[in-house]
Amino acid sequence: MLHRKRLMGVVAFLILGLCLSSVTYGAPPIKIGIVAPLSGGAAMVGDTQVKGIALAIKQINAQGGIHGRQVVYYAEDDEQIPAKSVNAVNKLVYQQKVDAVIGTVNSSCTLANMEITKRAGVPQITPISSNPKITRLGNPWIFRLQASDDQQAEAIVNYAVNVLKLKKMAIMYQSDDYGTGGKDVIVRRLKELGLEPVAVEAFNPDAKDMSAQILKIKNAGADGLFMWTMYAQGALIARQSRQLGLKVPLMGGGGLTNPKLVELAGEAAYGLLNTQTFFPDPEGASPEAKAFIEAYKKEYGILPDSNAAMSYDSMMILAEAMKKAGPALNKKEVRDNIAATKNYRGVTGVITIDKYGDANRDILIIRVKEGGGYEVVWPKH
Amino acid sequence: MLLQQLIQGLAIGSVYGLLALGYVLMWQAWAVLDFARGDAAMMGAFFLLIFNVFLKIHILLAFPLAIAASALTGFIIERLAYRPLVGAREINRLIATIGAGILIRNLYRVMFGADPFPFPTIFGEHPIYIKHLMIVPQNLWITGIGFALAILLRLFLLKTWRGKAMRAAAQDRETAALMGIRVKNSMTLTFVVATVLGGIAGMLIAPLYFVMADMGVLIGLKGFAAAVLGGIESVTGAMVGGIILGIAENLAGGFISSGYQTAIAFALMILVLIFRPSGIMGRRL
Amino acid sequence: MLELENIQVFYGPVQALHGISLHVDEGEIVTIIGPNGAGKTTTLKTITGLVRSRTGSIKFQGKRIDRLLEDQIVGQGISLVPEGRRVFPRLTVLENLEMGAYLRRSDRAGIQADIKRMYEIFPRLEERKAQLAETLSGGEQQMLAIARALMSRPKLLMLDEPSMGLAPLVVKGIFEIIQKINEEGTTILLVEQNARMALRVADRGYVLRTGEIVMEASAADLMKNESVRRAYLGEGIYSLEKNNGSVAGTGA
Ligand SMILES: Nc1ncnc2c1ncn2[C@@H]1O[C@H](COP(=O)(O)OP(=O)(O)O)[C@@H](O)[C@H]1O
Ligand SMILES: [Mg+2]
Repeated sequence: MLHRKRLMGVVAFLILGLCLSSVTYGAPPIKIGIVAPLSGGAAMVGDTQVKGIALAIKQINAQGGIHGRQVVYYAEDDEQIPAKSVNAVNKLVYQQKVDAVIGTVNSSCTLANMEITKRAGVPQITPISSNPKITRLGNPWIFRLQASDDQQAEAIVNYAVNVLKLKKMAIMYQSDDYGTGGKDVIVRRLKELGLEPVAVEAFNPDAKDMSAQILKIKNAGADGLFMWTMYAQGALIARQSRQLGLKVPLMGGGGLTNPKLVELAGEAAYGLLNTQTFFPDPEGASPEAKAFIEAYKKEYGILPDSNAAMSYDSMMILAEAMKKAGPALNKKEVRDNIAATKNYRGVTGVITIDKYGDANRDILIIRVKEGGGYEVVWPKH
Repeated sequence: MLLQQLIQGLAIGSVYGLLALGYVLMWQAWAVLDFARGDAAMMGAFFLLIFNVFLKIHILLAFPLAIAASALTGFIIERLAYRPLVGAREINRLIATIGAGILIRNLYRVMFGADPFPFPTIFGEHPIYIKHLMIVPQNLWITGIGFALAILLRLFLLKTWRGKAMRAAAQDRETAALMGIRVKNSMTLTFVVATVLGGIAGMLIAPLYFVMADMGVLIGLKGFAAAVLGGIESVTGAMVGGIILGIAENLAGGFISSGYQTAIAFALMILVLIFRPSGIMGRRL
Repeated sequence: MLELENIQVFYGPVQALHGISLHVDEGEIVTIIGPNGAGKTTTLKTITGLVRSRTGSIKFQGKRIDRLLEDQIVGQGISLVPEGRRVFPRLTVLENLEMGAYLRRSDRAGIQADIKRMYEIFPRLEERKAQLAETLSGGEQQMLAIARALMSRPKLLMLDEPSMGLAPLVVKGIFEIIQKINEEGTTILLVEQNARMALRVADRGYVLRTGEIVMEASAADLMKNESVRRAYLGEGIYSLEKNNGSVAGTGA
């Protein structure tokens, strides 16, 4: 009997542990559902997504909310796993009955979970999922603020070939929709420019040991390496490349931008190049961006990353669309208003939503400076 | 190229081997597949992070401190989560170890967040070249320490009173008690040793892979695959299994396709389960 | 030397021993015989502390031992050769012997001497000292189990069905060794289903049946007893019940 009691104690502890891992907040009027990776390899990104949205909501509520109603959010963890992401959005839509969904980070997850909002008729904005397919499947309920991988990959390939004059480039990509989508565009764009990659290597999104791939790339005599992955994995690649003596420019997409990249990879990250749509540099920033950077820093004590900014803009665009809709908040009306967004001056630039639901915007190329921090290298001032 | 991949596989393989030793010990003494092994590695890495990076204690002192902390945590976890389950059914014990792993992981997530923490390179990360062969000092250290620990463990089990008593208790609890062996203490000791070995594995990979709450999941599964590969009853087998796994992964990455690395690990494990269920080394210690 | 008084043991709701009392004097060979499931093994396990009695007491050399831990009981000088031998299968023969001496592990020289002595008594074990115990034959395993038990230098050696599953010739050898051990000064409590062999070497015997002692007498008297002969020595087909207690009172 005693054993059974102890066993129950253990079980109770387990349940407690599970509860601690998913964060939820109190009940309220206008409900925003957030789906994001709050644990696992991309947890930091999920965290800044929530922070960006939370800051926007705080500011909206401080100014009287929307139609006089306060805004609250529910955050669900998808651990970067598509099945969990679907569960998370199911829960948001059918249990919490949210008015709109913002999320998620991982493209495979967004591709899976956007079926739920489509069926339920709930507007969804993904701040940074960048797989081109997301907005090309004819789903009218999904919008994206990030520049798509097509746009980003083309930009970085152009830079590598036209500015750096590289000839023998290799590609490393994480073996999911995000990585594969980026890899495909790089290969296609290189081909258009008359070049062939010398090595194309995949790795699992949770892989830690990249040495086999790096050795192969080194052996192929590459003079540049594109990596289509998130910053944590990017830091691993940077660090292990350095250890294995692969000394070539490392290049990638917006998923790499994060102060943590330099923190994790140290010197190995210096010189890394990637595309970006938001750059947390108060000096060179627009007034909107500057105000946001300052508010964010005040609220959380850290600089925002691009995901925080994209998430902030997502919430603000959503709020605008809700304000323009009637107080009844008809979801179809809200959706139409998002689709009609034109020249919205967000913190990530001037945003116009196109016929696919994609945001049209300029793309920057930034470089990790020696000693940390970023500088914009393209377009040249 | 081939040699290079082999060397690379050796280093990661000895880390898998250390984790596999934990599975072997737990299987021997507790008759349970303990799926919280990877989390022991995670905790070890965090202890080293806390002592060396947060508290800025010199690495030579931080190492023993982190090992001591791992041992202490092992002791506490054994008391809270494992000992109450001694009489439970096998499947329940298995589930409990998975649960214990989840609990530990989530506690660390709550305490430290889910972010990876950077970890300074301890052993030097600049490669040394011997002709065309490149050697990363870090990998040498990892391999060396891994093997040294496996040999020490083997000596402990084969040559010391406590080690022999541990094996006796694992094989027949009741009869071991008749010899005057305190079986429960022996089981606690096994758990602590397994936790420390896992912890050291985590410390070794911390500079390579960063430190985060979830770092134990994949590495724990690889350790399990290595243990099955080598034979879940064999210390030598655990190391051999780890090395084979590490090398197979690297060769697969280098010569087949890097996308299949993890798949290869588990395919190997399943093949061994089908064709040689007792593992490569069988039941030899 | 050993005194059990009113021992009651339960496995869950099932009572295995119904208040048994018995004693073993210094230098004796005492045997407990009885059918399968009578509670013989349970009695020995209770003495070693592996199972515990709800009532009564166990005294060894005048001192109560029923509250001591298993290793403390072994430390008093009681050693058990368990039913089915229970050698450690994946320890070598030598390691098995060492485990027997676990509590005196600081006495290196003494242990070396004892191992040598065991090899003299059981030359087979020396030949196989580096082999895993699981590779031994049944008879060799029994020798190893006995030798292992002797390695703790017990004052009281208890054996649980040492003849089980062994060829008659091997059994004979084992019993000769038991007698020899006794002659060298070790008291012996022997549990057997092979009553004939047991009574031949024993001084006294108890008959245990469904958790109760139904007879106690000298071995010679038990040998002569009708009901014992019928029930345990294979002569006649009547059960013991009809002649219950015709030899001697059990004192219970
Ligand atoms: N571990 C156990 N759990 C439950 N019942 C048991 C256990 N061991 C023995 N018994 C029961 O206790 C009784 C006595 O068993 P035992 O002492 O092994 O008898 P013997 O050694 O005389 O054959 C039997 O009825 C047996 O079924
Ligand atoms: Mg019995």
